[in-house]
Amino acid sequence: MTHSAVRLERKIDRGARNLAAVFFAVVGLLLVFYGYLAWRSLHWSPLFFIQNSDSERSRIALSDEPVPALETGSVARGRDLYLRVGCSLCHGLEGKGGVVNPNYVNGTFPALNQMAERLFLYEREDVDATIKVLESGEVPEVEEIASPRAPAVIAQYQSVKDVILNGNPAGKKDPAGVPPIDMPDWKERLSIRDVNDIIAYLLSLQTWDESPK
Amino acid sequence: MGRITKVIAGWALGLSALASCEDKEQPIAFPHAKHVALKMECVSCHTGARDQTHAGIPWIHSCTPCHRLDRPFPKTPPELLEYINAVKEIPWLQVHRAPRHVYFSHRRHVAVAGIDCAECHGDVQSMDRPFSRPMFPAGQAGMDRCIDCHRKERVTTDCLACHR
Repeated sequence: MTHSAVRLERKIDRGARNLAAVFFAVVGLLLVFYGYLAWRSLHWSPLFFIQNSDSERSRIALSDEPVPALETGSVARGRDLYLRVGCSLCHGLEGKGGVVNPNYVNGTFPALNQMAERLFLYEREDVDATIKVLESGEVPEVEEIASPRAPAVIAQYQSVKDVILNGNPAGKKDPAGVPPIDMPDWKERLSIRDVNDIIAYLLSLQTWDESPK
Repeated sequence: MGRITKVIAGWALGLSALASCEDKEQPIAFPHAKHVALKMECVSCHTGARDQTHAGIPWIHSCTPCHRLDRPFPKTPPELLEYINAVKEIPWLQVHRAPRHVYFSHRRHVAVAGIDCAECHGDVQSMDRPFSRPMFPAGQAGMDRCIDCHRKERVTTDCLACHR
C-alpha cells in the first residue's frame, strides 16, 4: 500500500471513529436521561403534594348538598325573584335591611324579614298554610286563609301587593335635603304570581322561637 | 433537567400572564365605593356568587330601581342614562376569569366556605373605578395563591378538586 493510501485510510478510520464516538455519546446521554426519568417516575408523584383530602373541611366543601336554587315551589321561585329582580339591592339579602336610603325618615330601607308579623300570622302553621294558598298564583280570598284573622290577613296582603305593584313614596327626613329613593312600581315587570311568590318567600324568612314553653 | 424545564415553563407562563394583564377600560366608571358605602351587598348585584359557579355581572335592571330618569338623586351619569333609556345591557368587560382548565365554584367558596369577597377581589369598598385588571395573578403565581390558602384552611389540594 502506498504512503498516501495509508494516510487516507487512517483519515477515514479517524472520521469513522469520531462519528461512532459522537453516535454512542448521544445514545449514551439519551439512555442516561431516560434512566433518570424512569428513576424519577418511580420515586416522585404529584400525590406527594396533595394534602388534606380527608380533612373535615374538605368533606364539607366537596359534599353534594343540594343547591337552593334547584328547589321548586313558590318560596324557591320567590327567593330567585327577590334576588334577580333587584329587591335585595335595597331591602338587603334575606330581607334583613340595613341598606342606607339617604335622607329617608327611617334612615335605611325597610327590612322585610318580618312579613309574617305584618300579615298578622303568628303561628308557623298559619304561615305554611298561607304559603300554600299563595302557590295558586291568584289573589287569595278570605275563605282560603285558615286563620281567625283572615280578613285582616287579606287586607294586609292587599296593602303589600299594592306597594309592590304601584310603588310608594319615601318620606324625607330633612325637607330641604335630597329626595330619598322611593319604592318603585313593579307592575310592568311582575305578575300577580311573581308578587305571590315573593311574598311567600318573605313569609318563609320569619324566625320562630323554638324554645320549649 | 427538571429545574431547567421549570424555569422555561415559568417564563412561558409568566409572559402569557403578562400579556393577559392589559388594563381593560370599562364602558362606565362604576364606583364600588359609593355603593358599598350605602351597605349594599356584593351578592345583590353579583347574584350568582352564593349559589352558582359564576358570580355574574349585574344586568341593567340592577341599576334602574334607584337610577331613574325622573329622579335627580342619586346622580346618574349620562352614559348610564343612555343604557337605561334604551333598556340595553351595559357591555361590561369580564376581568376576573378562571382559565378553561380550572374549575372554580363561587358557591363553594362563598356559601360553603364563608370566604369574604374582599379576600380574593381586594379592597372593593374603596374602589372608585371598576376593575380594569384582575386582583390576583394568572398562571403559576395564581395557582400558588390558591394552594397557599387551601393549605392554610386545611382543604384538599388534590389536583382533581380544581382541574376537572
